[in-house]
Amino acid sequence: MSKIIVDPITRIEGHLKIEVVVENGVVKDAYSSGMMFRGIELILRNRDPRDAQRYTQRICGVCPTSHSIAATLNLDSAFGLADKIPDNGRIVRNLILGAAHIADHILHFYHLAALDYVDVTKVAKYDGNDPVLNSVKQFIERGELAPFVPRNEGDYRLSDKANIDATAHYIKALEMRRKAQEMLVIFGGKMPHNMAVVPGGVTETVTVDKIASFLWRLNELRDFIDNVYVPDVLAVAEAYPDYFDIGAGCGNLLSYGLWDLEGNDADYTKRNRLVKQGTVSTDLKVGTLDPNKIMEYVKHSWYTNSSTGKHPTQGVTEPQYGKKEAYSWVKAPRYDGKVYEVGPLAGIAVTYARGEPTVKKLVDSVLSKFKASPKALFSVLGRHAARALITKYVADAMPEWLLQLKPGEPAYIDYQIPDEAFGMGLTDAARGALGHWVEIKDKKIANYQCVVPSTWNLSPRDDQGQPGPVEQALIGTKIRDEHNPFEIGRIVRSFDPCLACAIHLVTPRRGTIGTYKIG
Amino acid sequence: MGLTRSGRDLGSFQGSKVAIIGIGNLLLGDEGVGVHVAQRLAEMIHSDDIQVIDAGTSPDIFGLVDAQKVVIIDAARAGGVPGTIYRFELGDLNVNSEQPLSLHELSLLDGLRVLSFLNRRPESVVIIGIEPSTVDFRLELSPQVERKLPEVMRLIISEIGGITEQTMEVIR
Repeated sequence: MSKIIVDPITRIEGHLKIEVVVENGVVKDAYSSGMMFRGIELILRNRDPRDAQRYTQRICGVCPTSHSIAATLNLDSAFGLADKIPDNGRIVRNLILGAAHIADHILHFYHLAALDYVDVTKVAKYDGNDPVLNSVKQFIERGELAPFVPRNEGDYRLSDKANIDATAHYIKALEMRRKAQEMLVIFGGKMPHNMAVVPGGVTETVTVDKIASFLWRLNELRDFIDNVYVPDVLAVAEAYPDYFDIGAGCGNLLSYGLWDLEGNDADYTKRNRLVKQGTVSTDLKVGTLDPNKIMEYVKHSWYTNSSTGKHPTQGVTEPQYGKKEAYSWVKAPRYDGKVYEVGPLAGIAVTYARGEPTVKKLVDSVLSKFKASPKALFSVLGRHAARALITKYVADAMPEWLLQLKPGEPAYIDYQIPDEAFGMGLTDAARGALGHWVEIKDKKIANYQCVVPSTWNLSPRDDQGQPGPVEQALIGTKIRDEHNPFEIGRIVRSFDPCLACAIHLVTPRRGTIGTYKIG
Repeated sequence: MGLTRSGRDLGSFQGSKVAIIGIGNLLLGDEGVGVHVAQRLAEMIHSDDIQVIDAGTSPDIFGLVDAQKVVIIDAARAGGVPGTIYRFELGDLNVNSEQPLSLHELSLLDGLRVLSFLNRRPESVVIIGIEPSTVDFRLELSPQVERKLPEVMRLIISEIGGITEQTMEVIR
């Protein structure tokens, strides 16, 4: 029996750590631990409720936009505005969130996940004239491999040409991601940490110029998604078909839905969204989303046992580091007492199972290409495919939203902050279900709780001993080479984890002489 | 700050001669010192030649940078007393070449390397580090770090000095 620990703690303090116990070449047990930003509620207490939009964006450097939307939906609901946002405001929020998700999914596939399957060192064999590929080639010839560090020696399966093409797409994706970020800025004002999304709507006015300049960037992105991103994901799937059977996980998916197609229903669980709300399991039966079924458990987390089994609105944060049986700062959220995975796969699977025609067509065409059943979606490749399809789905929906905007008409409605209120904001971040809850007393925040996607996916065991989604996805996996356990990285990265939400210190090289102290 | 629209011309997201980038988490006390400095500088500097970016903890900020000279401000744990100011160049930093599990681990160095593939690598990159005292959940800086901010800002201004006469006037 051996223990494999994947712990990138050298880069960021207090971070995601995956510990895997291997017996006879099979993962027998897995433990996912992390440091979480459980201090956010302490910071927000007694502040003006509107501060939540500004400060919760700072929780996460990768998905600040999603936090701004969740916080704002939360405040809309607390302020009694949820069904009163002007259409311009609702649509501009959708466009901002859509731009963020497109940028994020492209970033994840090319700059994180693809390196598991694409061997960038093959660019050394490139003999063409493309200046960018030649510049990559020079880096590789000098032995400078970061940020393309191959870790999966012995399991690269693409042809030399496919590896070289994918590397060119990696570079192209950088430019495309920037286009998506520019789209976000057109309506968000700045990036990261947009200022436009506020309770009552958005602060940006809608003009014909903004619509036009958004649209031409969107067209370029749609072209890239259709002709590069989706085909690259499918090419990886063709070369690594066994990954449709690896990393299945818990088999239960949860989506809060996102991108509001109407704003007349104050209940976010019932309103019509582009990506649908609900739960779905491997049998494809859909369940109605009921946020009252969400509870957080802490038996295996470093919090006092008396704070276990609480709904986020009752959430308590009483740290107890070193508690027996605990191994993570992450609490274990459960839905109806069961383990649920969140993310684009959940959004796509729930929308598919609800029979939405566009998603049905997209998913069926991928499944038929691989002669696979919908069960194959519950896998490493299923997660990557779902992420690509959701990107296409939203990008294809956005041109119509732009046409629905009414230049010159209001995008914002004025309001009063109530003395006392409760609020709930539900949306999906790029990594899955994101919920914010607020209690207001004397026009101030009395309690604020966020349950973020990676809390679901990277959660430790709960009070019943049920392992979290990533832990379940790892358990039972065959490890070909214990000294080079590439399967673990592939499974964990397919979830697009984002736990580090926190510390970002620069660590100078020890004993450096090139540094000088000032003052 | 960050990627912003320039004037009324929505079609152009222009680069600048200098980018000042504050990195850190505003919610973690001194860890957010880079962001505090960027926010204060942004109120002082209004020049097309200088872009002040509050990058927060965004790992992909370098996709947005188009500048000849980059000054990065961040908390740096290098063993000095809290409030100690350091000046690093790129070669002084640890290059960790593990493949990251999370996008959060894409580092500043990865970002700069990627810029060189795009032939957009800045001519010079200087990192101003400040030794933190308290890194925990709070919005305020510790007094040890707070009282060093004027000195940090003076250092940055001297770092970017001599770009153009106009720039210097703006800073004055």
